[in-house]
Amino acid sequence: MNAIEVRNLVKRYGNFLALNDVTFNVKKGESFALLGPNGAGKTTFVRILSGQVKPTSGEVRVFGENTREFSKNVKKRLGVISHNTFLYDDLSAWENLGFYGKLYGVESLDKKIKEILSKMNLYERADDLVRNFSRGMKQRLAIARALLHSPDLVILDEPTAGLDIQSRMELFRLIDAIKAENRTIVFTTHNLEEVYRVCDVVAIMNKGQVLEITEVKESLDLKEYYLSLVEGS
Amino acid sequence: MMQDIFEIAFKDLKIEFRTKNTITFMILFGLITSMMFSISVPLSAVRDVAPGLLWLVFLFVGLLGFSRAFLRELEMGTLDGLKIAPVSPADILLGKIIYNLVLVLIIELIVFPLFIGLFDLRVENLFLAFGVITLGNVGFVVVSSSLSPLVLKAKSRELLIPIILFPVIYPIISSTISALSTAIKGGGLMDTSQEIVLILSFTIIMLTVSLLTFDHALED
Repeated sequence: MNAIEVRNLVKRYGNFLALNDVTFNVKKGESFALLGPNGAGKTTFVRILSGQVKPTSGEVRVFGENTREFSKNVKKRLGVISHNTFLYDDLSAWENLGFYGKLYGVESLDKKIKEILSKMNLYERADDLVRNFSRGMKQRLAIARALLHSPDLVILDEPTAGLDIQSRMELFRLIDAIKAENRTIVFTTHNLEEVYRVCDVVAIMNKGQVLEITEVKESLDLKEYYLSLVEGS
Repeated sequence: MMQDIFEIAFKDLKIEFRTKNTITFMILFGLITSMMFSISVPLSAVRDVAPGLLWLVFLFVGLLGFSRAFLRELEMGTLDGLKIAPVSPADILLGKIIYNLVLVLIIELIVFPLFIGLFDLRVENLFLAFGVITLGNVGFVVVSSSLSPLVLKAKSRELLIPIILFPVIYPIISSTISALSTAIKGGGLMDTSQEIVLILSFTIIMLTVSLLTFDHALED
């Protein structure tokens, strides 16, 4: 069963073609990487996938529902972690999670917030304003915000950007936990090691197109494979 | 749905009362313009020009503050957080309208008595005058909250907002000034019914159109 179905997806910004006839599926429980250089179209795809942007043509279906007309029920099943934290600087960590938690209809919200802040080593700073947090702490809180409602599909758009080694290891531990629960992961990166660490399947993108989709195996020399595809495109 | 709307409004109010970034400037601007008008207008003309001048104060203050509700979300990158959250664009718009309404009511409660005092203005029907100003401000808030997202991504958005807003809001301005003038001179509810119906109808139409089309305004 597919969690995501992408069909002939095109996104234009004026004359710029950000995504060009992209088609692929992501199975439920799969960890799917989008690997490509800057400007490949990864973030544009993530923005369409999460319902932030509408495609020019083609369609993306998440859990069977077109992203053009996302219902609240499907939106509640998505968690998005990107380089943009979506956090309010003038609210505390607790208030930020409280606000989003209420919008997502999270039950036993106080208990969940306490749990996830503890997991992200932020519980001691729960009442501090986010504007006083370091970049790494904000990113950890953004991860907490995205996972608070236990989403079935976790979208990670270059989530390690700006994270220190400790936070990065914590993030990977969280991703392992998400994978263990058989939830679907879409992970964009231009870091080959992260693909090996996180993903089962990788789509290599360049200039708005998916060049190849392949399973991630120990035997696969991803670097050679990636360079041959991207430089040849 | 109602809970989401109030959560969004409550969140904005919490941030605003914590930072006082917008309301302080709105109040100060309202006080300064009221004082300047009171100095420059001769006492003999006060009763005739006061409704227009008072409404000008609210207009300036509103232009300064109402678009901040969306601008702040855009500047902080949190508008995308709302777009991916399980709330409809209409919920977001209504949340912003409620937030702006609370701001304008606070401004009204400060500026209106001060304006009366500065101009030594005798308002014959104070209750109606306050009601008319509030109704006009509700219309103003609805129109400005609905239109400001249209220019959010423009480079000269601060200049564009008044240019787009003035022609659209003109029926509300003219009706409010006319009704306020009647209230100051001692007219009753029936004397202002035509203006009140016009303001109400215009506000309801604008709100309906905005709620139906607001998802397009939020698109990239």
